[in-house]
Amino acid sequence: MSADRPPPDEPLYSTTWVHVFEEDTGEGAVYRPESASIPLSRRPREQLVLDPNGQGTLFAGSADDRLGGRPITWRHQHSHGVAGSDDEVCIVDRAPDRLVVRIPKS
Amino acid sequence: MKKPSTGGIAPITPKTHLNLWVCPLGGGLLGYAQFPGGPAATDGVVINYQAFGTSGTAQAPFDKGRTATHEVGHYLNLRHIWGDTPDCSGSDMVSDTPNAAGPNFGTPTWPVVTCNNGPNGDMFMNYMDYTDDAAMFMFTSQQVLRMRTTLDTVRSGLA
Repeated sequence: MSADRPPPDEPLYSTTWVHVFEEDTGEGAVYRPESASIPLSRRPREQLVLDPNGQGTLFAGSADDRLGGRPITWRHQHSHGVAGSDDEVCIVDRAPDRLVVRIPKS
Repeated sequence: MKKPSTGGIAPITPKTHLNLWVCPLGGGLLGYAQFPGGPAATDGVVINYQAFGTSGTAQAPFDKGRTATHEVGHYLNLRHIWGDTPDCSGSDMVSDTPNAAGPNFGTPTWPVVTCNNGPNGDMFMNYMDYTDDAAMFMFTSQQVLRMRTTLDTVRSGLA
Protein backbone atom coordinates (compact mmCIF):
# COMPACT_ATOMS: atom_id res chain seq x y z
CA MET A 1 0.00 0.00 0.00
CA SER A 2 1.33 3.42 -0.90
CA ALA A 3 2.35 5.63 2.01
CA ASP A 4 0.31 8.34 0.31
CA ARG A 5 -2.95 6.49 0.84
CA PRO A 6 -5.03 7.03 3.98
CA PRO A 7 -5.07 4.25 6.61
CA PRO A 8 -7.46 1.31 6.11
CA ASP A 9 -9.98 2.57 8.69
CA GLU A 10 -10.46 5.78 6.77
CA PRO A 11 -14.15 6.54 5.90
CA LEU A 12 -12.96 6.93 2.33
CA TYR A 13 -13.09 3.15 2.06
CA SER A 14 -16.25 2.34 3.98
CA THR A 15 -18.32 4.73 1.89
CA THR A 16 -20.20 4.20 -1.33
CA TRP A 17 -19.57 7.40 -3.27
CA VAL A 18 -22.31 8.60 -5.62
CA HIS A 19 -21.69 10.89 -8.59
CA VAL A 20 -23.53 14.18 -8.10
CA PHE A 21 -22.87 15.40 -11.63
CA GLU A 22 -24.73 18.64 -10.98
CA GLU A 23 -21.72 19.68 -8.85
CA ASP A 24 -18.98 18.70 -11.30
CA THR A 25 -16.22 21.24 -11.71
CA GLY A 26 -13.34 21.78 -14.08
CA GLU A 27 -11.22 19.82 -11.61
CA GLY A 28 -13.24 16.66 -11.96
CA ALA A 29 -16.39 14.74 -11.11
CA VAL A 30 -17.90 15.34 -7.67
CA TYR A 31 -19.01 12.36 -5.59
CA ARG A 32 -20.95 12.41 -2.31
CA PRO A 33 -21.55 9.63 0.23
CA GLU A 34 -24.61 7.52 -0.50
CA SER A 35 -26.02 8.65 2.85
CA ALA A 36 -26.12 12.27 1.65
CA SER A 37 -29.22 13.84 0.16
CA ILE A 38 -28.80 12.79 -3.47
CA PRO A 39 -31.25 14.29 -6.00
CA LEU A 40 -33.35 11.89 -8.06
CA SER A 41 -32.03 11.36 -11.56
CA ARG A 42 -33.29 9.46 -14.60
CA ARG A 43 -29.65 9.08 -15.60
CA PRO A 44 -28.33 6.39 -13.25
CA ARG A 45 -25.61 7.93 -11.14
CA GLU A 46 -22.22 6.27 -11.15
CA GLN A 47 -21.06 4.89 -7.81
CA LEU A 48 -17.51 4.40 -6.62
CA VAL A 49 -16.18 2.03 -3.96
CA LEU A 50 -12.49 2.31 -3.07
CA ASP A 51 -10.33 -0.31 -1.41
CA PRO A 52 -7.24 0.53 0.69
CA ASN A 53 -5.00 -1.43 -1.68
CA GLY A 54 -5.51 0.96 -4.55
CA GLN A 55 -8.23 -1.06 -6.22
CA GLY A 56 -11.97 -0.55 -6.27
CA THR A 57 -15.18 -0.81 -8.25
CA LEU A 58 -16.97 1.71 -10.43
CA PHE A 59 -20.68 1.06 -10.90
CA ALA A 60 -22.46 2.58 -13.90
CA GLY A 61 -25.91 2.36 -15.45
CA SER A 62 -26.49 -0.34 -18.03
CA ALA A 63 -28.95 -0.80 -20.89
CA ASP A 64 -31.78 -1.74 -18.50
CA ASP A 65 -30.78 0.96 -15.95
CA ARG A 66 -29.30 -1.51 -13.48
CA LEU A 67 -25.91 -0.60 -12.07
CA GLY A 68 -23.09 -2.82 -13.25
CA GLY A 69 -19.62 -2.76 -11.70
CA ARG A 70 -16.17 -2.84 -13.27
CA PRO A 71 -12.84 -3.03 -11.43
CA ILE A 72 -10.69 0.06 -11.30
CA THR A 73 -7.41 1.15 -9.79
CA TRP A 74 -7.01 4.50 -8.16
CA ARG A 75 -4.38 6.92 -6.84
CA HIS A 76 -4.08 10.37 -5.40
CA GLN A 77 -3.24 13.07 -7.86
CA HIS A 78 -0.07 14.01 -6.00
CA SER A 79 1.10 10.54 -4.95
CA HIS A 80 4.86 10.59 -4.49
CA GLY A 81 6.78 7.95 -6.36
CA VAL A 82 3.71 6.65 -8.14
CA ALA A 83 3.86 6.89 -11.86
CA GLY A 84 0.13 6.64 -12.40
CA SER A 85 -1.54 5.82 -15.67
CA ASP A 86 -4.32 7.12 -17.83
CA ASP A 87 -6.42 4.09 -16.89
CA GLU A 88 -6.54 4.97 -13.20
CA VAL A 89 -9.16 6.87 -11.24
CA CYS A 90 -7.36 9.94 -9.93
CA ILE A 91 -8.49 11.54 -6.67
CA VAL A 92 -8.06 15.27 -7.05
CA ASP A 93 -9.54 16.38 -3.74
CA ARG A 94 -11.29 14.76 -0.81
CA ALA A 95 -13.22 15.64 2.32
CA PRO A 96 -15.44 13.47 4.54
CA ASP A 97 -18.50 14.44 2.51
CA ARG A 98 -17.00 15.19 -0.89
CA LEU A 99 -14.70 13.46 -3.33
CA VAL A 100 -13.43 15.01 -6.55
CA VAL A 101 -12.08 12.52 -9.06
CA ARG A 102 -11.06 12.20 -12.65
CA ILE A 103 -12.33 8.95 -14.14
CA PRO A 104 -10.91 7.47 -17.34
CA LYS A 105 -13.34 6.58 -20.07
CA SER A 106 -14.11 2.86 -20.15
CA MET B 1 -35.83 -6.20 -2.28
CA LYS B 2 -36.26 -9.41 -4.26
CA LYS B 3 -34.77 -11.78 -1.67
CA PRO B 4 -36.83 -12.89 1.35
CA SER B 5 -33.56 -13.67 3.14
CA THR B 6 -32.79 -9.95 3.21
CA GLY B 7 -36.31 -8.75 3.95
CA GLY B 8 -37.53 -8.56 0.38
CA ILE B 9 -40.24 -10.32 -1.57
CA ALA B 10 -39.44 -12.89 -4.23
CA PRO B 11 -41.19 -12.52 -7.59
CA ILE B 12 -44.50 -14.33 -7.94
CA THR B 13 -44.93 -16.56 -11.00
CA PRO B 14 -42.89 -14.28 -13.28
CA LYS B 15 -43.78 -16.34 -16.34
CA THR B 16 -47.40 -15.26 -16.06
CA HIS B 17 -47.16 -12.01 -14.07
CA LEU B 18 -45.28 -8.77 -14.38
CA ASN B 19 -43.72 -8.28 -10.95
CA LEU B 20 -43.26 -4.64 -9.98
CA TRP B 21 -41.50 -3.63 -6.77
CA VAL B 22 -42.03 -0.11 -5.39
CA CYS B 23 -39.45 0.69 -2.74
CA PRO B 24 -36.67 3.05 -1.65
CA LEU B 25 -33.63 3.08 -3.92
CA GLY B 26 -30.31 4.67 -3.01
CA GLY B 27 -28.16 7.01 -5.02
CA GLY B 28 -31.05 8.93 -6.60
CA LEU B 29 -31.91 5.98 -8.84
CA LEU B 30 -35.44 6.10 -10.27
CA GLY B 31 -35.77 2.48 -11.24
CA TYR B 32 -34.50 -0.42 -13.29
CA ALA B 33 -35.77 -3.47 -15.11
CA GLN B 34 -34.74 -6.79 -16.54
CA PHE B 35 -34.83 -7.64 -20.23
CA PRO B 36 -36.66 -10.80 -21.34
CA GLY B 37 -34.62 -13.96 -20.95
CA GLY B 38 -33.00 -13.15 -17.62
CA PRO B 39 -33.17 -15.12 -14.36
CA ALA B 40 -36.70 -15.79 -13.09
CA ALA B 41 -35.60 -14.98 -9.53
CA THR B 42 -35.07 -11.32 -10.44
CA ASP B 43 -37.53 -10.89 -13.30
CA GLY B 44 -39.62 -7.73 -13.17
CA VAL B 45 -39.40 -3.99 -12.68
CA VAL B 46 -38.22 -1.94 -9.69
CA ILE B 47 -39.40 1.64 -9.15
CA ASN B 48 -38.30 4.16 -6.54
CA TYR B 49 -41.37 5.10 -4.46
CA GLN B 50 -40.43 8.75 -5.02
CA ALA B 51 -40.88 8.29 -8.77
CA PHE B 52 -43.96 6.08 -8.77
CA GLY B 53 -47.41 7.25 -9.76
CA THR B 54 -48.72 10.79 -9.92
CA SER B 55 -49.41 11.69 -6.30
CA GLY B 56 -48.49 10.84 -2.75
CA THR B 57 -44.76 10.19 -2.47
CA ALA B 58 -44.01 10.98 -6.14
CA GLN B 59 -41.65 13.93 -6.53
CA ALA B 60 -41.38 16.37 -9.43
CA PRO B 61 -40.10 16.20 -12.10
CA PHE B 62 -40.73 12.44 -11.95
CA ASP B 63 -44.34 12.51 -10.82
CA LYS B 64 -46.28 11.60 -13.93
CA GLY B 65 -45.69 7.86 -13.85
CA ARG B 66 -43.17 7.82 -16.70
CA THR B 67 -40.53 5.88 -14.78
CA ALA B 68 -42.81 2.84 -14.78
CA THR B 69 -43.52 3.37 -18.48
CA HIS B 70 -39.80 3.52 -19.24
CA GLU B 71 -38.89 0.47 -17.15
CA VAL B 72 -41.77 -1.66 -18.42
CA GLY B 73 -40.51 -0.71 -21.88
CA HIS B 74 -37.21 -2.40 -20.98
CA TYR B 75 -39.12 -5.35 -19.54
CA LEU B 76 -40.79 -5.70 -22.96
CA ASN B 77 -37.40 -5.56 -24.70
CA LEU B 78 -37.10 -1.88 -25.64
CA ARG B 79 -33.67 -0.27 -25.56
CA HIS B 80 -32.75 3.30 -24.80
CA ILE B 81 -33.48 5.40 -27.84
CA TRP B 82 -29.85 6.49 -28.32
CA GLY B 83 -28.60 2.91 -28.44
CA ASP B 84 -26.51 2.99 -25.24
CA THR B 85 -23.28 4.20 -26.80
CA PRO B 86 -21.68 7.63 -26.21
CA ASP B 87 -21.59 8.35 -29.94
CA CYS B 88 -23.63 7.66 -33.08
CA SER B 89 -22.71 3.99 -33.40
CA GLY B 90 -25.39 2.47 -31.15
CA SER B 91 -28.86 1.32 -32.12
CA ASP B 92 -32.09 0.70 -30.26
CA MET B 93 -32.92 -1.93 -32.89
CA VAL B 94 -36.04 -0.03 -33.92
CA SER B 95 -36.29 1.33 -37.47
CA ASP B 96 -38.50 4.39 -36.97
CA THR B 97 -36.52 6.16 -34.23
CA PRO B 98 -33.77 8.59 -35.24
CA ASN B 99 -30.16 7.80 -34.51
CA ALA B 100 -28.96 9.87 -31.54
CA ALA B 101 -25.60 10.53 -29.93
CA GLY B 102 -26.71 10.10 -26.33
CA PRO B 103 -29.46 10.64 -23.81
CA ASN B 104 -31.31 13.90 -23.30
CA PHE B 105 -32.16 15.30 -19.88
CA GLY B 106 -34.64 17.71 -18.37
CA THR B 107 -37.07 19.30 -20.81
CA PRO B 108 -35.08 20.02 -23.97
CA THR B 109 -35.98 22.66 -26.53
CA TRP B 110 -36.78 21.19 -29.94
CA PRO B 111 -34.87 20.40 -32.06
CA VAL B 112 -31.80 18.71 -30.62
CA VAL B 113 -29.85 17.69 -33.70
CA THR B 114 -27.15 15.00 -33.39
CA CYS B 115 -25.82 12.28 -35.68
CA ASN B 116 -27.07 14.15 -38.78
CA ASN B 117 -30.64 13.50 -37.68
CA GLY B 118 -32.00 16.93 -38.66
CA PRO B 119 -34.27 18.66 -39.16
CA ASN B 120 -36.30 17.03 -36.38
CA GLY B 121 -33.33 15.75 -34.37
CA ASP B 122 -33.41 13.44 -31.35
CA MET B 123 -36.78 12.03 -30.37
CA PHE B 124 -36.30 13.24 -26.79
CA MET B 125 -40.04 13.06 -26.19
CA ASN B 126 -39.87 9.28 -26.44
CA TYR B 127 -40.47 7.26 -23.27
CA MET B 128 -37.12 5.53 -23.76
CA ASP B 129 -35.03 8.69 -23.48
CA TYR B 130 -33.86 10.16 -20.14
CA THR B 131 -35.95 13.34 -20.11
CA ASP B 132 -38.28 14.49 -17.34
CA ASP B 133 -41.76 12.98 -17.10
CA ALA B 134 -43.38 16.10 -18.53
CA ALA B 135 -41.20 15.97 -21.65
CA MET B 136 -41.88 12.38 -22.73
CA PHE B 137 -45.15 11.27 -24.26
CA MET B 138 -44.72 8.65 -27.00
CA PHE B 139 -43.64 5.31 -28.31
CA THR B 140 -43.20 4.84 -32.06
CA SER B 141 -45.09 2.26 -34.12
CA GLN B 142 -42.03 0.04 -34.37
CA GLN B 143 -41.43 0.22 -30.63
CA VAL B 144 -45.03 -0.90 -30.08
CA LEU B 145 -44.49 -3.72 -32.57
CA ARG B 146 -41.33 -4.79 -30.72
CA MET B 147 -43.24 -4.91 -27.43
CA ARG B 148 -46.13 -6.83 -29.01
CA THR B 149 -43.66 -9.30 -30.49
CA THR B 150 -42.18 -9.79 -27.02
CA LEU B 151 -45.66 -10.50 -25.67
CA ASP B 152 -46.20 -13.02 -28.47
CA THR B 153 -42.91 -14.81 -27.88
CA VAL B 154 -40.59 -14.69 -24.85
CA ARG B 155 -43.25 -13.19 -22.59
CA SER B 156 -46.27 -14.99 -24.06
CA GLY B 157 -47.14 -16.35 -20.63
CA LEU B 158 -48.39 -12.87 -19.66
CA ALA B 159 -51.17 -12.93 -22.23
